[in-house]
Amino acid sequence: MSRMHRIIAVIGLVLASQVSAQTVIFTGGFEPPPGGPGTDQDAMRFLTQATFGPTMADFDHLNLVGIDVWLNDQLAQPFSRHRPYLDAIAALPEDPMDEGANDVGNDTRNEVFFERAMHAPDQLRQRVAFALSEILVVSDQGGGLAGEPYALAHYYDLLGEHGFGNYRELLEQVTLSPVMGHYLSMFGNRKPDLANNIRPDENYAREIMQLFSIGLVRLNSNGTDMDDPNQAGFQTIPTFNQQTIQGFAHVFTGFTFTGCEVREFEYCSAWTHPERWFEPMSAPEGAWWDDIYRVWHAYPEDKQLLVYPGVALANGILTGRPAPTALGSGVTAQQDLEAALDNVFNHPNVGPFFGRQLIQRLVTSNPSPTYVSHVAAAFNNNGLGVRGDMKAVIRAVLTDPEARGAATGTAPRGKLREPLLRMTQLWRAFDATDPANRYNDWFVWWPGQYIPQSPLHARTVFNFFLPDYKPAGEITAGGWVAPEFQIQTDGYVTNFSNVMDWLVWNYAGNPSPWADADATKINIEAERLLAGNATIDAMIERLNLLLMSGSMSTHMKTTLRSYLLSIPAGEENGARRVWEALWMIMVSPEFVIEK
Amino acid sequence: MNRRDLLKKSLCLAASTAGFGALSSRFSLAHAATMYSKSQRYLLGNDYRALVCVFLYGGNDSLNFIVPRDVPAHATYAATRGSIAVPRSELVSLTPTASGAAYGLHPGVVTGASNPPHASMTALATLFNQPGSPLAIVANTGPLLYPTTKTQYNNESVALPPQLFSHDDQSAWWQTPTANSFDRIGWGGILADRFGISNPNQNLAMTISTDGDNVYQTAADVVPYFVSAWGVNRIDNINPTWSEPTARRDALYQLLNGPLGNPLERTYATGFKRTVSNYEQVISALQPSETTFDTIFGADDAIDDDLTRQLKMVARLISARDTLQMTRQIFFVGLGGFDTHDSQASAHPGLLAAIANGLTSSIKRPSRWGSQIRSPALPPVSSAER
Repeated sequence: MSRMHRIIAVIGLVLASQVSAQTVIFTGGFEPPPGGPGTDQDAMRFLTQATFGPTMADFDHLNLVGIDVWLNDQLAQPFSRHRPYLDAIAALPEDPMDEGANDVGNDTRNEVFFERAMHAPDQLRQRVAFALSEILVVSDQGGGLAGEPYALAHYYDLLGEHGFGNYRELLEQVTLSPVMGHYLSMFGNRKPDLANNIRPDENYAREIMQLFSIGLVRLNSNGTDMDDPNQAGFQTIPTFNQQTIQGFAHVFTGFTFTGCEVREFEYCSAWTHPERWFEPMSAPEGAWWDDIYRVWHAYPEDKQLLVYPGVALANGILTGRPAPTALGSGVTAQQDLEAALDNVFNHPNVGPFFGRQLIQRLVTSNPSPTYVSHVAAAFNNNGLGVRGDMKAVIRAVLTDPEARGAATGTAPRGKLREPLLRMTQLWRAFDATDPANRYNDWFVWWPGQYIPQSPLHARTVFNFFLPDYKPAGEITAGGWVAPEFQIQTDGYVTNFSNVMDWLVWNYAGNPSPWADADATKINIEAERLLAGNATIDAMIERLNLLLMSGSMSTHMKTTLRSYLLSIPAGEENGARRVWEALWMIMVSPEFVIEK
Repeated sequence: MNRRDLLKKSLCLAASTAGFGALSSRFSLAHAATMYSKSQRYLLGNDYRALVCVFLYGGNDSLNFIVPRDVPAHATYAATRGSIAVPRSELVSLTPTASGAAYGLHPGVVTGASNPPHASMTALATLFNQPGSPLAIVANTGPLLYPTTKTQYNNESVALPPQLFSHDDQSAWWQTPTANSFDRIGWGGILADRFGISNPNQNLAMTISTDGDNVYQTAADVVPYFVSAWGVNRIDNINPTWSEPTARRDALYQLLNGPLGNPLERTYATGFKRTVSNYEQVISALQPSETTFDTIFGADDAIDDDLTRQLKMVARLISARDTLQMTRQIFFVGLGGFDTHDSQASAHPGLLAAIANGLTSSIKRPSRWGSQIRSPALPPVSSAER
């Protein structure tokens, strides 16, 4: 069957299942639209990478307009913010039948995560925000942030809003975020006071380099470790040392909530001014109790920052100068901070280090050096002489030949689908709806022992999994990485498989008295109609395309087919065969590894 | 030979990475496999031994846990510690060392507030002080390669561990024997890779963790069993005790058994099958001990501290060793919250009391865990839990 006929056939199925129809106009011959996708499989693969999960409607639209136009459209979308959702929930009256359902907590952030993943039109922007939340990590598990869901939602919105801007601005917004300030101790960090044994806290200085921008060792532009030419054998070159950390630590001093005066610095809080969480921090200065001008930023010290080829600051040193004695009398703490961020931003490591992690979150765990070099090049120059253009980087990640299916060399293709994405992929594919329009099922509200991740909830600043995690066995032996395996521990594999059962069994129309009336329900009508013996292959193919981008092996199709045929066709009016197939697919190796 | 002597002797032998390598090469996998049959290996080690590592994440300030009690030593300590120093009069005394140096434990309550020491701290001290004590302190261990002065550090005149002062990195170096590599294979992982063959049951890893993934047990080949301290569940859909799931289970296993063309797929499939095998063995093996340890650790729903919960699961697994056919096991228990920063004074006492409570409740009745345990399963708290 030609590709054009396949698309018409699929649209036919789409119309039968009452998903919104598209007016389809075909020219005489069929050519792939600009930028692809060249095949149905690649269309689904692209949507799996660029959204929270393909739908048949998205599939049709993408085939119609092509990847270039789809990307242009998505890159122009505004970010559907998360914090307004929390405000809306807070404004709801108390539910007498479900006490606490309309209280706002960190579980509400989980709710809005799913709501946006399901319904936000800015799918790519939401997906990138989630990826950034796993790189530029803050968490309700530290920094006293457990009680600040609005502040955390605001931080997430910063990632969404600046994730399509310039990386330099994103880095500054993150640095000046009071949420990050609390999480990594920059908030209220003060200049040295050696008499009282006080030195600037080094937490943020270390992590901004180690985790958020350049990593621990010098990289070539293709992401491979640079070899030290002055040492025998292969020796990596550290990007920074303790002196550098102290240099940055001194820069990151004097900042607190905007709205606090210099005299309030040591005890500035948002207790009576919760809106302070939503403004970037600033560095107050002014008259102290004794009327002498007081600053909290470390001005006079020379600060050793990063050294690299082409660094703007001589020897990487941000020269100290005397603290100002009056407002506007000299360079400010903010200007020091900007110079330091420029120093980080222009390090040649940023493109490969940051770019590789974006590839890992969106496409594959083991990109080839060539792939990384393409993305790093896009970071270095978007084609118009601009460094750090996030849209150019994202486009490079998604349109690279390797992302679009080209051969990768010896490294395994793909990645283990994160548990949250497996859930959104299922719910989006089957148009899941909730009777109350709230995605607040028990496992969303309290993932606990069942789902090993939820947004801005990592145990440490190292995210739920490390970018270089290697599961034992074949992957370690091959010298590859597979980050998401770090949370594939026995308890979670067991409990998440049981959650999957809950998700597929709670389908719309399930007549069982055990089905939960309040649960989010998937719509499997189109599949149910194909569940009979004569059309079982078509049902398997549909699930193959929708969930696995058409990659299902013959062995898996045969196994599924004979298992499904062993189940009576009439059970639950065919729905039994559908959820059995869904569960089997969702825990199978070929699905769980996205390729 | 008592436990303290054993520790001294084995530490001398394994004092350096080279030493450890020499020790382990005599027990290489190939060597063991050719020398003895499986049943002979079991008979060789007719006893049972378990190593339980309790890792304190965030960096425990061990110098405020075990504090010098001699007047001049305490004065030096207090001068550097300033406002967070523990007053000498509030320390819970420990028996002095053979050379006469005296130490004491933190009282486990907020200092300077004239509270009596926490009961678990006095219990811990009593246990340490008794003749033939099962406890010993292993001091001055850690990632440093040499004793290092500040001048040497500033001049970089001695080799130093990477990323000193980053406690996340130092936590990792603590758990591995090799400090020059980013491939984090841990002490426990190496032991499991090399000595795991000695367990009669080759279907359960030598390494078990109640705290999830950790560097200590990370190995090249052996994947630890990650048990939840909250209890062990089944995947309901493939529970073999129901008739329906058999066909479903068979179909799923046909998918797991492949053929699978991608190493990531194969790794997932192997892991999934191992998870099922693990819980099927462990659920039946743990059934007899469901209430046995309630008297020592408290009933499951009455436990509210994480360390106790994890140690209870460890105890239950150790008590099931004959059913599970294990002779050598390495357990990992993790406790967080030690990165106290400026809340040291208020937070640390409670954390230390929790450690003491966990240790004393586990150690005091070793005979309850099974007749073959001759020495306590838990290692002593060392001054170097950083």
